[in-house]
Amino acid sequence: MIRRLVSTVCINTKHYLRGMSTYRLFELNTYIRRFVALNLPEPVWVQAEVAEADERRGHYYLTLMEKTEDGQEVAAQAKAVIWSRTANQWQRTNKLLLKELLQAGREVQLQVQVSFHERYGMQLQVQDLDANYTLGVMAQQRQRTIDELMAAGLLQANKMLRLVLAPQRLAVISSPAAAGLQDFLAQLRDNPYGYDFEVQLFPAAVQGAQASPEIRRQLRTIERRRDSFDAVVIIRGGGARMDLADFDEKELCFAAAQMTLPVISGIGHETDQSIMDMIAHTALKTPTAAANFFIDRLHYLDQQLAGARQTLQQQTSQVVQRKEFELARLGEQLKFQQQQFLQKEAWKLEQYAQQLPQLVRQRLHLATIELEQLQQLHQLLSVESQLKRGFALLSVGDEIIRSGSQLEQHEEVTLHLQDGTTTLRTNPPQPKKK
Amino acid sequence: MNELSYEEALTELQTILQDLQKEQVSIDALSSKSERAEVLLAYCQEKLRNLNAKLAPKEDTPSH
Repeated sequence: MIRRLVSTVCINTKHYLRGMSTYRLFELNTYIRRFVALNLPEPVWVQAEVAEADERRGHYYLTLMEKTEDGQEVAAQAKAVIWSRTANQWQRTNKLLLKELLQAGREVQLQVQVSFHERYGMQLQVQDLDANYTLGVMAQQRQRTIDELMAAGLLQANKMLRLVLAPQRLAVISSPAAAGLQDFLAQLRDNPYGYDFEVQLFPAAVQGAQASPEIRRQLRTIERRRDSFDAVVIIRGGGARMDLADFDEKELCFAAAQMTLPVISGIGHETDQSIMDMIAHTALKTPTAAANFFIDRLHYLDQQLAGARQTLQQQTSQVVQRKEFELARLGEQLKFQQQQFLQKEAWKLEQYAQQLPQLVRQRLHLATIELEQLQQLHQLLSVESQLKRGFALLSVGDEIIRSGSQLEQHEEVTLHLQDGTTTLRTNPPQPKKK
Repeated sequence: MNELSYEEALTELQTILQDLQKEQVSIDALSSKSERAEVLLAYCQEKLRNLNAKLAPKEDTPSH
């Protein structure tokens, strides 16, 4: 296309070139305008990078540029405009928003009508825009970023971080105005279990060219205070597909992937995944889902604890049961021993009970024998038995006469013989003769 | 008698029985000693019976 353009220009210039003349500026500019109009009568397709994009009253004012191959300098630059009528029609047809597509840094392919105005200079009036070209370039860039992240070992780095069991201290990066942030906060606040979350907001633009630098700045701030938080949450309300490209941005994704805190993304898109979602520790589709992720995690822990408590109770009661059983067995043993002891004791008493009358009888018997022996002895020694044997006994009344001197005192004594008694007269003692 | 422990009662009983065996009990004391021994025996047996009833009552009573 460029080649064809150049050849056309060559054909048409020869009529107007007059050497050595001096022109007024307006004359020159008129010449250029007619030159341009004649040589570029039809719209042409042109590829460029968007340097700036500005929307005023539905019109889009762009600065297009092309850099030198080494990327260091600007090789070409031009102003372009999309009038609101064209813009609206294009957006209706393509179901895309120009605001999202036309951001600084984007590669675009535009169909432009080149015009030149004597006072305002050259302007490219955009007739059409090939969204697929921009999306294709973006997809290539995106793939390059993914490849580089993978090569740096950062695609999985954040996923490898351990998220605490009960993440409650959250560093939230979002735009204070974002609806998604309000959804997130409300969901956390109204959780049915009454869990407390400590949320600190780190405000940043979450779409547009400012998103990457602002989010990266907040990531650095959070990283410095990493001990105060359990996780980083990046929140944005639902956006159109092109918005997601903000989270494909290379430097942002590298910064997020190198965080030492787990990054939880809730950047709100149902169908597409940004690179941020890929590198995040956990990617949720919406801010509400992100909030539920934390609530569910706490609830899960809660349930685990409840289960552990139940297990503990069961095991405790098992131990108690076992001890009770042991005690019962000991009690049985005790009762048995007691009975044995009592039986032994009772048996002893019974023996004693049997022995007692026997011993008493023996003792009585012995005493009886003693008595009998005494009786025999008594009989042996009795007066009658002595008389029978021929002995005699003298007495006076009850007094037994045992000596001669006793006898001298009595005139009559009684003589006891076996068969009776008789009275004897004693010879009184003779006075002693000299 | 109530203040006498089982051990004391048993010891006294055993002493009486030993004395009887050794024939150290006088006949005068025989009757009273014998009576005393019977009282001690009954006392000890009563104590054992009470203990039995106290320690093993659950087996006899229905458990519900």
